[in-house]
Amino acid sequence: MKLGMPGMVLRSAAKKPATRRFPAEIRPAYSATRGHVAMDIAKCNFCTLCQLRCPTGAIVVNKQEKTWQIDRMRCILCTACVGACTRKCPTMETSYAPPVGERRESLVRFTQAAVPGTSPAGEAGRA
Amino acid sequence: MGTRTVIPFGPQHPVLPEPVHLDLVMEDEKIVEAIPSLGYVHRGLEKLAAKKDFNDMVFVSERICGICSFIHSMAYSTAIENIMKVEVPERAQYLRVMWAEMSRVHSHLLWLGLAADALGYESLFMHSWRVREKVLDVIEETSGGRVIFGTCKIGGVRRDVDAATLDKTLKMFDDIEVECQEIVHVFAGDPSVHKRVAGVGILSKDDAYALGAVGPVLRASGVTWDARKLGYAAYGKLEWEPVVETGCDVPARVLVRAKEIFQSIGLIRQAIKKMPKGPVEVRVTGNPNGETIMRVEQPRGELVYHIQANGTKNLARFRVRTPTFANIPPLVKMLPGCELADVPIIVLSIDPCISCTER
Ligand code: SF4
Ligand code: SF4
Repeated sequence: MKLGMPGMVLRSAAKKPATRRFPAEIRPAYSATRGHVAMDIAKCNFCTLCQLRCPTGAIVVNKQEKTWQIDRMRCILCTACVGACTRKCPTMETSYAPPVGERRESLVRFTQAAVPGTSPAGEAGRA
Repeated sequence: MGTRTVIPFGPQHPVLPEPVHLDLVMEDEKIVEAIPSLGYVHRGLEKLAAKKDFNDMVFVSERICGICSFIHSMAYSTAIENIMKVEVPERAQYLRVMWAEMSRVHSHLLWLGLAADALGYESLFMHSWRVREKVLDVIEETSGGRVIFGTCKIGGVRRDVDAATLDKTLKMFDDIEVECQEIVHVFAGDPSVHKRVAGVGILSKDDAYALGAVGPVLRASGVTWDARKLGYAAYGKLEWEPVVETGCDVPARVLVRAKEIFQSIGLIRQAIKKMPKGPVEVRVTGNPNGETIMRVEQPRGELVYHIQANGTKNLARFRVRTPTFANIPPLVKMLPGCELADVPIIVLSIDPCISCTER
């Protein structure tokens, strides 16, 4: 075991690299990983509790327009919004949000359909 | 007396990614004086405390340092808990110890890598960081974040870790320990490493004490002091002794940090084995009113939080003294008499974290 540097070098030469060949090989996420906040807008009643609890002001809820907007660059993945919502709309996903090229692309707005539940809810567009 | 030249070291320097500036007054190759200047990355976090809710400040304090992140949030939360006289559940105390020691292992491995890099040992640097990556994986699996744990809160911790994950953590640290032994063996036994650093950066025991050195710098000069002995979180219930070396030079500091890796792994094992079942947080209501000083041991040394609260949701005063700040006077003492070529490794030997220093 204690061969010192030569031993380590020889062993490393015989082994496959310690790094992964990303993106061909992707490490599965841990269940605890905080990746990004996903939103089920159909369940939301726009009570703004999540907006009040968010320490960074990343969430903007608009009751009139029935929109829920998150700024992914502001979000620090603290899970406060997930814990605050009584209807369990925001959830923490293990995958990371896709990279963005410009600052404004990090704003993601969800809009609720006129009659809740009639149309599939989702990332309706980037603000 | 030869001619004196002033050589600027930093704020941008290849060996040190962080912006500290030293004016090195040289006589030929020898340093006669070192004048530090700081303030390149001041962030004004202490002012921010006056605007943020004290609960949200946990997140801010965690971001003071990217390496000792968890220990910062633990120090802040414990300080507020002391003011509000909140009794934190025991399981949370043990989880805090576990996470704090994980961040110590990863910080020390990071430092060993940087030290190897400063000595020109590229492959040793890679190996240290390869092992550190495994520690980060364990951190991610238990807390959800790789660098920012985000698990500490006032009144306990935000997430519990199940028994299966704790078992896996123990197994992972068995592997990590074996790999660390190999790396430490090179640092401690390799003749060329020894030749390069032996007798470099001397800080005598009296100087270390008088100048207020902290952490591994203090312990490498033969002073037995570790703030974890104050017994915050669950440290008082675990069995361990501070690592002390008497070499007073750079290799002594390397050894202190290397031995602390194994000490930390031991503490993680103890914490996991002794962890009682039960809740991990208590509900905290109301606002803090009072004043407290909290001292905790970070990988780099003793961290001091001074908090003054006035019964509102914003703190009146939030003052942080980070270990690097305390280690700068000892650094300035170490440099005179050294060769210019030894400056990078001497500066590195205090494990400087300039961004923490400037808050
Ligand atoms: S996501 Fe939840 S907390 Fe936020 S506005 Fe909708 S219902 Fe309220
Ligand atoms: S995870 Fe935290 S920072 Fe991100 S949106 Fe939710 S509350 Fe805000």
